[in-house]
Amino acid sequence: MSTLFKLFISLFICISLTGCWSSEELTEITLATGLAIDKDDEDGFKVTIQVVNPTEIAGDQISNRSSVVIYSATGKTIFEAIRKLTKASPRRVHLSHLQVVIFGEEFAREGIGETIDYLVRDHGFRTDFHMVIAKDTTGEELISVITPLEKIPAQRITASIQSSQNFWAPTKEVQLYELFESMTSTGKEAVMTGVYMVGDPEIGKTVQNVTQSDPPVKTRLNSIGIFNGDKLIGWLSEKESKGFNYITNNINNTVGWVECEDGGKISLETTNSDTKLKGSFVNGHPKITVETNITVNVGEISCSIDLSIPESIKEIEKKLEQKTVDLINSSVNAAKEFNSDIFGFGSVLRKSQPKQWEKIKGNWPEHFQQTEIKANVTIEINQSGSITTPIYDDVMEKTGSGG
Amino acid sequence: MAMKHRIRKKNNTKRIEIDNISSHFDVNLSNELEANKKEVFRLLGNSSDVETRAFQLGKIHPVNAAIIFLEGLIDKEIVQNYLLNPIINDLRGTNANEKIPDVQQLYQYIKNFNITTAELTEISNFKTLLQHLLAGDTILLIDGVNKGFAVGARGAKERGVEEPTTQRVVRGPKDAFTETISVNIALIRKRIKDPNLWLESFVYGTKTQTKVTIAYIHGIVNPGVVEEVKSRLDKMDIDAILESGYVEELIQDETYTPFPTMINSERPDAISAGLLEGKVAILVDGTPFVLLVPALFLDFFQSNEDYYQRSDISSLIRALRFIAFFLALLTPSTYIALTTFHQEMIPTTLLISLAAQREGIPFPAVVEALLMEVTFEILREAGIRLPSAVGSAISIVGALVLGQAAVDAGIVSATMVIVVSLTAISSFIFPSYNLAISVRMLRFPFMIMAATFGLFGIFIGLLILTLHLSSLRSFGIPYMSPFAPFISNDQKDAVFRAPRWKLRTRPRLINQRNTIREDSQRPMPDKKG
Amino acid sequence: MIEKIDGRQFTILVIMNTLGASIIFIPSIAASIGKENGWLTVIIATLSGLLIILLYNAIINQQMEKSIFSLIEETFGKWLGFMLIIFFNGYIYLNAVANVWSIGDFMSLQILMGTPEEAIELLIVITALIAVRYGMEVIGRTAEVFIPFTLFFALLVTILVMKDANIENIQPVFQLNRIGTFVGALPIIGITYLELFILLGMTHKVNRPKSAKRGLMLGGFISGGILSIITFACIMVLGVKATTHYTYPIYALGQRISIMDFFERIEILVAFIWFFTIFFKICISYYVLETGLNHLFKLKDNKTFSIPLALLLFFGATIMVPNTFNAYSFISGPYFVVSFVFAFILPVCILLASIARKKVKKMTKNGTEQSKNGSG
Repeated sequence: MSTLFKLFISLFICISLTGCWSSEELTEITLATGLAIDKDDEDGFKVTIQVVNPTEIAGDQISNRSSVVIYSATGKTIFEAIRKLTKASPRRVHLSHLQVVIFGEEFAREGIGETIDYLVRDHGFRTDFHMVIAKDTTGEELISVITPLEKIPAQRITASIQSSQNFWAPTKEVQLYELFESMTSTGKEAVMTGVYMVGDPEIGKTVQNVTQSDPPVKTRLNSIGIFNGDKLIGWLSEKESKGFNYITNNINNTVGWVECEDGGKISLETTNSDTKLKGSFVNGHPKITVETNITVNVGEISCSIDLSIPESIKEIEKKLEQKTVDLINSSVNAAKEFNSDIFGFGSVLRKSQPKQWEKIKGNWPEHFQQTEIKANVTIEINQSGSITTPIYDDVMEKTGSGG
Repeated sequence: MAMKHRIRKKNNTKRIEIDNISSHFDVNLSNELEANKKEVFRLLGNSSDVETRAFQLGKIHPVNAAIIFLEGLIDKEIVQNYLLNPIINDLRGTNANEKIPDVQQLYQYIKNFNITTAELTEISNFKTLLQHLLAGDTILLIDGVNKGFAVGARGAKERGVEEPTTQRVVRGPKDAFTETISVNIALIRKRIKDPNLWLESFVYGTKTQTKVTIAYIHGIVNPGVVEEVKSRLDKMDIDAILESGYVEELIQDETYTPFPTMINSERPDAISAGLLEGKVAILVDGTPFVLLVPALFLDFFQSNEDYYQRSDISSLIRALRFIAFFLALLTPSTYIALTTFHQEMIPTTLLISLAAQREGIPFPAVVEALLMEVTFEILREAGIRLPSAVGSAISIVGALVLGQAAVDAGIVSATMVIVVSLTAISSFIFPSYNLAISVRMLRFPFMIMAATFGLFGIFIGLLILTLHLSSLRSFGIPYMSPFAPFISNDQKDAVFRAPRWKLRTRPRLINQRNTIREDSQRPMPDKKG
Repeated sequence: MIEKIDGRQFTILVIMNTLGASIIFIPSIAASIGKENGWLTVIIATLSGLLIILLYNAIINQQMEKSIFSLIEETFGKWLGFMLIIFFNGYIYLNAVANVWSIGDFMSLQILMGTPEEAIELLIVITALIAVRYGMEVIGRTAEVFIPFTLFFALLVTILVMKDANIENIQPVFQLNRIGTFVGALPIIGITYLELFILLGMTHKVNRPKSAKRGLMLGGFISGGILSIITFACIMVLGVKATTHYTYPIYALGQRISIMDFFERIEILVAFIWFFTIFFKICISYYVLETGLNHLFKLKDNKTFSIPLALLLFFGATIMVPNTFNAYSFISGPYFVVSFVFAFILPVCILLASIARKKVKKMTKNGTEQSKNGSG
């Protein structure tokens, strides 16, 4: 079969003639882990990237040089700005390993629509990075802070968003496709977690920041920022953010507390929360029922209460139910104040009552204000830690008798 | 086409020459002993290992006789005790003419009453005389008779049956074929005591006169394949066959393929198993490697031990071999493709550590990979040629030391050393050495494809490879069966091996009749009480 | 030796032919027209596609183990037959070129950024050339090797992304946009089932006409099922907007795969599902095109045209399609008309003419017999 042989030869020639177009050696590229987009007064966009210094992170000899490097460039369009980065960086910047995209607050307030289009369209990106807003500061400053523990600051932000969402709840992991979906569809508005920093940004940029056990500059997660269309319009408080997560069924695990009769507190750990939204129309006005079923564990008791009595459990449940309803209501009120349907009530109505939705779809923001929201929360206390009667009583007894 | 024609023509002219020479040998023996002896010596160029012993038959009217043999090829004990001793002693005291009036009768007398060896052939011309002489027989010539005897008293030094050196098993028979075809046939016969095990022998090689025997089990084998084997063997026109590789290359289906289309094995149990599946074995004198056809791609992933171990273990090990096949073939190319084209596919932390390692390496990944692979191939080849005492040690130590030193010197990255070692180890897992060689060869085109088109290149390569594999046939049987064409019934013994009681039928394409192999039931312990 | 493929291989080629190209476009088309009912659109397309297959099966009945080209020639006579075969070949050529282009475009856009499209197209055409030179039997067997991987990866993608599925994305089921749900089926049929007409050019290679018909039906059904499942997964996971927006939604779906947070970013495997299917589709078109040309020029050796055709395919792919946006508007609009004319009206004509011709033949035969009887 000499034909095959000839074909192989010709294939080989083709290949050796054409060369390697799109190959890039690892030593020719640099990985960007964070991208900050800010407003620039002259050009419009200012883009800052955080690229890693691999030898500093995984090399044999670790010096005390910074593990990341910051480059920034400005441009009339975001694409131009990103391409301009090549001027600043000695190697080609690879954006496929981006962990986090940070928008400066000022920039976010003016609208991030173009940016999203670019991020979705460009093939150099992947869609699995997190998106946050730099509250009260610019993305550039936030991205420049060198953090301890995690050598790549961008990774720190991602990790803390994830762990915060998993164990505390007032934040929300937002990824590109979700943002894209909520920015384009009617009946749902976008949200994004905010991150702020404490301390002097200039110190944050230096390695000095990680040489101390208590770094002078820290980044902290804030609660959720509300969008209307592609513009940031305000911030929810921590409490409201939590309520938001209850409504959007975005709670994995969080901690809440209720007061006992004697003034002490019982901490309760939410282990499971399941919310169903039901839409209906009452007299032509939209109505949303929020059905939330929550399972909690008793985490800590600092008052005298006997959990073996069913009544006392009932009482705790009732108190927590009320508290959760309050959370939800405060969150809804805040959203109404900003007039932004971040919960996606509109799309709930669209799904359950498609015909009536078609009628009001045009001026949904107006109807959103008038939507009646009813929250039904059911709490179930699952198991009371490992002990039924609190240690608190014994401790009190002892100190009481001793004193 | 034109070129093929030319070659054919050339062959024809050559053949005529050879025929001339052999026709020269084709002369009948004369009546005179001395003339015959002289002629034999002349034909063999008075070679120093041709020896003769002249003696006389009878005392009174002695008849001259002589034996001719090649030093080293005969068993002198036998010649002395069962040839010379009876002839000389029996006729010593007698008048040969008295007892046997005629030389012709003397000849018959010796044949019937004197020579006591099992093998005895009458010869009447120089061609057969030389054939027997060169094969190690002792020639007895008597003056006045234009015929002679070739007495089978071969006793060349032979290697005994030893353990196989290339295809080792943990559990299984430990005997291996030797260089002697009769021993090899006996090793198969010992395993298959069936009258239907048929053998056919031919002699090929105008110079070497090598015996080639084909073996098959009548009634199981596909008669078409036997015919095909015979006709292909007949087309061979070669002066020498020193190893079964000569035969393999002359009768295989496709020359320009990296893949073997015939199995070779030095294990009698493997060959017997093949015969029982309906394959044809080709035994060649002078080599312990026996060929087995038709061969499927799958056969090179199967070891005999798969059938000696329990089915679950064998299935796992077989699956491992398939994984190793892809590892050996694709690891370096995938590494190149991922690190130079598809960095986004590597998890971030891993990519950062790879990047840190590659920092300061002067070569592009593909050059680095080619460099290391070639170095390794050299080491491996050197390891085989080195004296066995140091061979394996040198190759391992060489690889380690070279690898370590190269990494420390910053010439190659540590990951590359891991990649190359993984590839190397994986290619040792195959039970068949020839498949390992094809994988070694194919690795390099794949690396080039990967360096040019990334993973896309690798996939194109796999596509072409599969197309090629699907186009191959071994003695009429599609090489990729039972995968393509897919035969569901044969999947029981393909990637996995089903328990023995499920292996009821023989592979479908290899033999189309007598497919039922066994009818054992699933073993169930008797339930008692 | 006469090449023959068996029913199973033909079924696999039918699946490959239906999924090729379409698997990556369909979710987008379905979602853009059918919105949240896009998966229903695909199911509707599948059902109507099976009806079209019935039509093709009727033609296979007429073929009686001859190639479609002989049938056309016999039915329409030499000159009209010649013209129709040229038209048919033109359609196949267009199809093959579109497929070569789309794979080159996809690879150079999504996977090998920076590599010129032409290089990728050349590589594909060369590989297809090797395949066609080996013949249909080898192509069939190779498809048999690759189909398990293709189906396995398709299934794997669907299962692995299901953790991100959101049932709300497909609600309300069939409440809004009912007309769109049906209309959307048309372009889908255009790039899936109507293209199966090309396969009629190789049914004479299947060992039995019966298994060819069965293969067409079964293959059409299976691939319809796969397309429905994938569209369903795309809409469930990505949502209608994103599915519509992405040029290659199934690729975006692949980006969502994450096993143990380590095996991520394996969407390239998804790309190769598509690559394999489209490759076999190109091979089939190429092969049928070659068969058609051989028939036109009455050539026995079917290797003569392979190299010129390879060049034609390559240049066609590099010249004919200006850019991605054009191709899109073409697929969802005019292409359906082209497909409809060539792969629906033409077969209907062939079928009717062939039946009519046989009837006439029978009648004249009967007539002559009768007249014979009459005279006798």
